[in-house]
Amino acid sequence: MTPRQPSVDFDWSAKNVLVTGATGMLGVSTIALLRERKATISATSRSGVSMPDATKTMACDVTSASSIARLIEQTRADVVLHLAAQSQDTDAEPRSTFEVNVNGTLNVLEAVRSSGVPAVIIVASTYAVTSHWPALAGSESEPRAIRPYAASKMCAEVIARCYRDSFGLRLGIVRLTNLFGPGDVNLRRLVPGTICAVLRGEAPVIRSDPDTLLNFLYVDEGAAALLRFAEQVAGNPSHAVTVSVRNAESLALREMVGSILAQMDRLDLLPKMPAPASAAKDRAEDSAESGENTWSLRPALALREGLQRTIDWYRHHHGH
Amino acid sequence: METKLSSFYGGKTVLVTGHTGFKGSWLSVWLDRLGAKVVGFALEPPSVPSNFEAAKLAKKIQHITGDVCDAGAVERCVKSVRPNVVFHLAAQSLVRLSYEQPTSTFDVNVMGTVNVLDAACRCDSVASVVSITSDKCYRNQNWIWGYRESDELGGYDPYSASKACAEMVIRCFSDARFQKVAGSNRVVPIGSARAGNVIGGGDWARNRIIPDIVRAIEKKEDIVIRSPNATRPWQHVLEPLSGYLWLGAKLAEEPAKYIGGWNFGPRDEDIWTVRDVVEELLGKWNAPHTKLRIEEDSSGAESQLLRLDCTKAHEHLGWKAVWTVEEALTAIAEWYRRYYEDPREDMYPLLVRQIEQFTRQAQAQGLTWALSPKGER
Repeated sequence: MTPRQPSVDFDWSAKNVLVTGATGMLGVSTIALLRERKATISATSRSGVSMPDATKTMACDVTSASSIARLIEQTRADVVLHLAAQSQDTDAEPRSTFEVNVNGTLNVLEAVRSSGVPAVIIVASTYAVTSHWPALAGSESEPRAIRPYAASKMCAEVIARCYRDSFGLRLGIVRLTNLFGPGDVNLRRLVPGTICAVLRGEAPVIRSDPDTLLNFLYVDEGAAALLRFAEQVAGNPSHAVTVSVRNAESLALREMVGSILAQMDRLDLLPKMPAPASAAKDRAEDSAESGENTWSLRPALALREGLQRTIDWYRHHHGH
Repeated sequence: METKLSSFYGGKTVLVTGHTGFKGSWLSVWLDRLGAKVVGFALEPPSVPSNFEAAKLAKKIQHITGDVCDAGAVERCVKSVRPNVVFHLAAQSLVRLSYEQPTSTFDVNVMGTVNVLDAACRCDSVASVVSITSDKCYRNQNWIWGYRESDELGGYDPYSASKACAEMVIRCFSDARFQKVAGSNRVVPIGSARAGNVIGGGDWARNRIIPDIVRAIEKKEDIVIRSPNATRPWQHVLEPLSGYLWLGAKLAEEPAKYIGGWNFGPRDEDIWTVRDVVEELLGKWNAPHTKLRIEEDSSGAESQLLRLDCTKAHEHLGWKAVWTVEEALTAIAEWYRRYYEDPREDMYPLLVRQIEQFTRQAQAQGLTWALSPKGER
């Protein structure tokens, strides 16, 4: 499967596409691709601010059922891409995470149902699902913590599946691996955290076992896969319900940090990190593949190039 | 009657959400009799008549009208009541209605659970929380064997999906590490209880067979059933309630051992055909004007029965069912007959009598929760 290629029989230029969460990292990248493909775009964001490329967004808080319903009705969307999410864990205020991720998804699905939108894509999280479904199941022995973000994203998936099963929505769920790229404001994540530390002249910090393998994908690759899956969902009645999108290769945390340091020419900044858990640890994936439909991508853009674009973005915005 | 339940709940302040519902009202009466100070938080009763009205509960317990979807109202209620134990039963509990009103079903069942658990975890008087979900929280794999607490969650219809989501919310909130990060000094133990449809006096919900029979008898009409040979489990409401109550007590005493999910399902021998139940109830009621009429409709495929494996509750809580289906139906016939003799009469004493009868039988069967507090076990 080569999910990068736009499929020939799907004409984005004839489609009205509504994107929620357009100003997020994935949203910006997705809108750029949709523009290349000449789709008619309705970009929405909570605040209604303009996007970096000056695209106007419509203000739409997904937690307001009437707001999202009105927009979907007005724009006569053919495809809805639901990207809006609260992606940071807010342990002190878990309610808002559930509010945005559960009720937000619910409101979008209900609006799609009542307006009869032909296709909708829900973005889920590989991390939440693969690292927690088994834990949820095996609740007897030492259950793993489920943080509000993961719990809320799993709820969103359950609700999305239910809308498909119960109401016949043409719906796809994309579980995306860890994306990195320009404009990620969550500095607790490894890539932006490392780059910003280096820009401040500080040693980056790796919080967990540096040999832990993590799957990283440049955001543009994720956006391309998202659109490719949307084409399948909209165009093929026997489409898969979910797809997990990941990089064919994972990297140890220390390798990723090392690449960033090398590219920023600051190998002198030795990362602060805990000792590896075990010297003879094999490179077993933390996030086991979920058996279902998985696209293991060999990215068109080398990791180096993706990192460079990301670094350039933070250099440009550093201190702003 | 002194039991381990009364020695735990006596003098405790207990908050019951959904106390105006069928299950919630029975639970509130039971807690009241155990000597607890019961505070209910719920919308108005879901049906007219209702068990809540029939037992004149508004006069017997503290009754707060409120919506669990209103986070502020839930928080204010918990802060002012300062309960020792919380039972979260408020829910949209009808599968059919969930197809008509999916968003409010998810809102009540998922966000309502978020709101109640969030408020309970922030209140330092709370010693345990029992959150009620459903046997339908498990992903239906069409197994012939019973579902265990460790099986995968999921749901096809909006009701089932909402209960699977509620389970995820409970798992998130019950985690000690999460509660610490969220700013708690201590960990509030949370248990989730999973039971199926139950039967009992005082249920007037739509599209349920016992209330349908009751309405037919009351109107002196025939009772028409379309799938007489369909089998269902018939569990009296007091059965899972005994489990919820005992779980609430054990969670407070030994949190680490009892946090997690618990099945309180019917026994295999409680699975009867619809025809047998209708005939049994008509016989017990002695209702000469109502006859069973069968208009078989083979088109509607019966969804496969989802059975619960309750080994965990047997082993760790010493819980098991007390009444046979026949005993449950006897109690039900007595309840409705009495009610329709004079609908203005206070049904509370009869509820109490049935609870006491149930408890005595449980005691005779040696069930832990029903033993006297000084009992050996």
